[in-house]
Amino acid sequence: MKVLVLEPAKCTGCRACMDACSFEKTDVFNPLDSRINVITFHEDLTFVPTVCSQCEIPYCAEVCPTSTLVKNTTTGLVDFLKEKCIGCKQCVVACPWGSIKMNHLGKEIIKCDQCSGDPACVKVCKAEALTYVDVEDMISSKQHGVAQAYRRIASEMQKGVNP
Amino acid sequence: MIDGGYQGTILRVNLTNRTVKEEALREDWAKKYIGGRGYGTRIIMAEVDPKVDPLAPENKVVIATGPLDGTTAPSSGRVMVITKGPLNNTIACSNAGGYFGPMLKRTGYDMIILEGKASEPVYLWINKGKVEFRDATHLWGKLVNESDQMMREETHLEAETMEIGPAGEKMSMIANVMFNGHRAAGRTGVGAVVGSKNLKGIVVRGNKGVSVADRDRFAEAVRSAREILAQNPVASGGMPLYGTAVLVNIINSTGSFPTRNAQDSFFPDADKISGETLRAQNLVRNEACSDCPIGCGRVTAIKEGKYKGEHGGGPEYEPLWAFGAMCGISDLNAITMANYLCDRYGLDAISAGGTVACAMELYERGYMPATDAPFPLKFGDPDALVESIRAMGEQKDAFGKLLAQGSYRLAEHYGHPELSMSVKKQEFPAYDPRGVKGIGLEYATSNRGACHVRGYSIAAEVLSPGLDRLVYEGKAAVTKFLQDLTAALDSSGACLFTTFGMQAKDLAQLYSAATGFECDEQEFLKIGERIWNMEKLFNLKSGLTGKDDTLPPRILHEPIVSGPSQGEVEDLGKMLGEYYSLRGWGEDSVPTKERLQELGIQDLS
Amino acid sequence: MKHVIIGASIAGMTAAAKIKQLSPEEDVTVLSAESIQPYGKMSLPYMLSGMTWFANCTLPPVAGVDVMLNKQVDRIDPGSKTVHTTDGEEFKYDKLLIATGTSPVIPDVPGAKLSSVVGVRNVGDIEVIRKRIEESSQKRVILSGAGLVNAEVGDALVKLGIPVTYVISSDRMLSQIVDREASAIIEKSLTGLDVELLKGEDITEIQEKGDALEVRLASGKVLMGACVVYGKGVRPNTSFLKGTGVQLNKGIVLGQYLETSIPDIYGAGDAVETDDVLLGEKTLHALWPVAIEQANIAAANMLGMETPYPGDVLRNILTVFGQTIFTGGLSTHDEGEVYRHASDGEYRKIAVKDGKLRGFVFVGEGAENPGVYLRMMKEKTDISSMIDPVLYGTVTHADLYPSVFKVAL
Repeated sequence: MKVLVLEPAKCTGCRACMDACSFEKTDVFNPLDSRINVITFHEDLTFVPTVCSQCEIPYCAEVCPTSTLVKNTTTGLVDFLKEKCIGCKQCVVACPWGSIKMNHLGKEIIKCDQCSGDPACVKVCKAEALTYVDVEDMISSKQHGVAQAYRRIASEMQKGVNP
Repeated sequence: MIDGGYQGTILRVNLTNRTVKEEALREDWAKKYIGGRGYGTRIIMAEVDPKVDPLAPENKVVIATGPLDGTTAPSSGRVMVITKGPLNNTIACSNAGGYFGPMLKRTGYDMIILEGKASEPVYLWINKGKVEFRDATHLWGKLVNESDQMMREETHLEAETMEIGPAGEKMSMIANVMFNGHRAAGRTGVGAVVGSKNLKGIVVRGNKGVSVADRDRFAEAVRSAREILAQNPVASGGMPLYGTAVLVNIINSTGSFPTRNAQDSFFPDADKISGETLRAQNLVRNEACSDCPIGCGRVTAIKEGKYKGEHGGGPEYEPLWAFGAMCGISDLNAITMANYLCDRYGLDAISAGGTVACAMELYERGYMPATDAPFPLKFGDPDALVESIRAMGEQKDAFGKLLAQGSYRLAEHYGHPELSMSVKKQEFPAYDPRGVKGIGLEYATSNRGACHVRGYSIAAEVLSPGLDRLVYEGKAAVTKFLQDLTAALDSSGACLFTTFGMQAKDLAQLYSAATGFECDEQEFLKIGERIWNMEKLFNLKSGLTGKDDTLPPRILHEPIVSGPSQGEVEDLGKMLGEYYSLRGWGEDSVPTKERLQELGIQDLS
Repeated sequence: MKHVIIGASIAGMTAAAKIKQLSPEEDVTVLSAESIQPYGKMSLPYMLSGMTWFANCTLPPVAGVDVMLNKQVDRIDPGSKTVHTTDGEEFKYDKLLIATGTSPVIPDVPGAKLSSVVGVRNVGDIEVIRKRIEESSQKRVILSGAGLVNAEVGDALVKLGIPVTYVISSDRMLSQIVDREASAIIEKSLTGLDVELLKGEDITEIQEKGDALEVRLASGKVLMGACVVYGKGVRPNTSFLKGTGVQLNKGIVLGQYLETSIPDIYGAGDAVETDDVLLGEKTLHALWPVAIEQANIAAANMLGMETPYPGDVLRNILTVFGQTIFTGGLSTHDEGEVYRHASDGEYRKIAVKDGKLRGFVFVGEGAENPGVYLRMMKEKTDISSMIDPVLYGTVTHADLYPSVFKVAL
């Protein structure tokens, strides 16, 4: 299973992900219709991307009165079955992350579906703040990072350096 | 019928009457001039008398986007400011990155035409198609970073901003227009024109999307363009890693790095002010303009010394040079601070640095009496640099007022205009024509005065092995080609840096797919040439002549003293005639009827 | 253990599912007073407008749970732990959950009992309105009260092209959830629609006139309409609890574990009173997502897993007449420091006290990041340094975790 990994420290704030997402989904470039969002903090020029984390126990699905939102155990995604939606926005309120939202007209509910396994946002993220990787690879790369740190400490200790 | 790329509407704002009007974008002009720089210049040609006083209410300012703005076309968020410039009476046109361009487009307008003059300071709040004139009395006098924050707080935090600083308000000839608080449309004093209209800024927020004519073709063109840039070592290596500052060591190593007001062209301390040092010492992170995969922007902070705790954007390569080598200064923190101050006061960093360097030479040679200077103006003195910039920004005394007029007027004031390193009164940037011959032709012929980004021949002469930088042959053709390409590119909304990898055909492909106007490489370049000739016609009508296409005497006659280009001077005459003839211009630099006819603009002469 | 759940709406069905999920061996019976399969009542106005349909709103059956229809509970005997229904049946329980919801308040005026006078609470009520619109020679629908439900019902009818008249005793729409300024914006958005707004009025008498209704108002004014829809508030369904000793206020008063004052009897959903984090006292929330959370927690407690209920806050989000209205906390009146922003038909207000968000009203095209607002209120986040982002709706969850991006610096 693949996951969308966000690394805010790498984000350059170019917002190409937002343009690419809206174009993929609506054929029009409009960041307000993007499923992924980049927040800019002007005071210190920091950029934080946010997107649906496809929760294991999704609040949005729980409050949906028409079972429009369903956790898909095969793909790991929270599916949005558009034709069943009545637009009551309970999911929008329930999501504590703001990752399920209304489109720019305030009419339609939109959320990330990872473009059925080929996310448009990742393709334009040159800074690699967004990556789409196998969950195993993500974990093993984390483990690798930790192991590297241990290795460095161990070698310094051998040299008699107090880390 | 316009199918995509454009929103189709231009907003006309009359500041005198406080009225606004929506006008349809002209399809014929869109086809002929694309948008941005080209279309904006066409508007100025149609509506502004070339003889007008640039600071009079009769002058107009066009804030323009191109058809690629707001799309995923790489580095496509440029915004153009076009007006008649006060620094040198040319067609002034300056552009900036950031996010204003795409957001302006999402308000539903491709361009804004500003005309007249407000009776009191105002700023414009364009929110989802509604335009408000807002009082800006409380913002007048505020630094760019302050007014930027205040305007966003008063309107919408996710809005995008354009603003001038105190320099623009006081109509400094080298005032810029700032975007997002730290992106500059730097050159030609466009900020003074906005200031003369009592307009502090424009805040935009919109919800309209940008469509393209052929969805699949555009998606493929974007994919291909991004791939080209990803494969390019400069665009995906040097630029993201070190920003434009990567050039410091490169250019200095060719001995073409004007030093101490170009008295030399090799700076032994270059590495102290290089991109590599900047990265190690001050870089916080990279920042990219809208949809840019290159991300050359630097978010920096000063971490020690007397300016510790200050933070902001940049410095880019040009300011590093202008405040560094040009002033003989190797203190990176002072240079960074000078850059922050330029952004805050709204001053063009290239011209500001060139002006301080000029002042330093005037002072050291005794042409500027010590009594005129509030402190000793010695090359290499970081405090003198920072305080000079402050004086220039605040214009509280005669010294500051004089420096704020740029190096040419400063040097002229002391009877030595030859010490201004400028062409058409505009300070030249960070490449010495004595060591890179072609760039001298570009400085001399650029339609807005000395400039490197109208035909960036450095790319061909230094960055990629192709042309020998010290020969004259072939430089005229390269310069013309690049000038034409850049004019079209600037009109499309794309950034010049895309040309590290992308070619005219790639840009033409993006443009055609976005707008539905079929355009190949040849046609794209022809549009660029058309724009170039139109700009030239404006300048001729404004009173400039072929005599203005020259370089500072120092560059033409004083050999470089040390370094790899030691002994070199620039012989402009070896290129200028060939250039005019390639352009189809007479020896007096006036475009021939035939060439104008070929380009379809005979009516403009 | 034998669990009996009274009520088959979202609270009852969520609790049933949760009990089965946590402990599949449990015996769970749900008693429904209705004669049809359980469904989500929140969707009723959307069913009226035709945006959705009954089959789309049914609550999924829970494997192993018996849902018994047509079981109107008559009384409960806590001593013998028995539930009696009106048809004479008895159900023994070890744990009992009351999730009976509410009924619309219909004042006792002459004619109030007519079949074409309804309050929207069941699918049947929607059917009545539909049928009357179709059959009556009058198309106009008279809505008494302009609260949440009637605002949505009116919006649904307007979408169907049916003219409506609001008869409201107060002087503005949605006075229970928004302030005066917001009401004005919502009322302004009625311009151009076939909506009549009669303020400071009350229905005093309703009479059948052929296939239509003649409605007499306090002022003497007479209206003709197809039917009358009451939306003047709701009352928890608790009459069957009389004499049981279950503590009642406006609704069933619950403790920290969602237990009633009588052992082994729990409550969840619109009929119960629980802690409000902002008010610091118990109140009726009567909100769909609150019912879900209460049901999940009550289910855990019924299984002996002690799970305290953290309390909740009042909030509403709805789109009517083209305006999206998002409110939370103390939204009808001002408290503490109040910040307002109004422009171009957009209205934003937040009330802040001691640095904490106490309430907000947003009216306009859409609400940005509404979930963040609930979190800020529930977690009592100090927002004194981000008043503007909170007011203008640019605040995001990232603001609540400042450490995430400060690390990057």
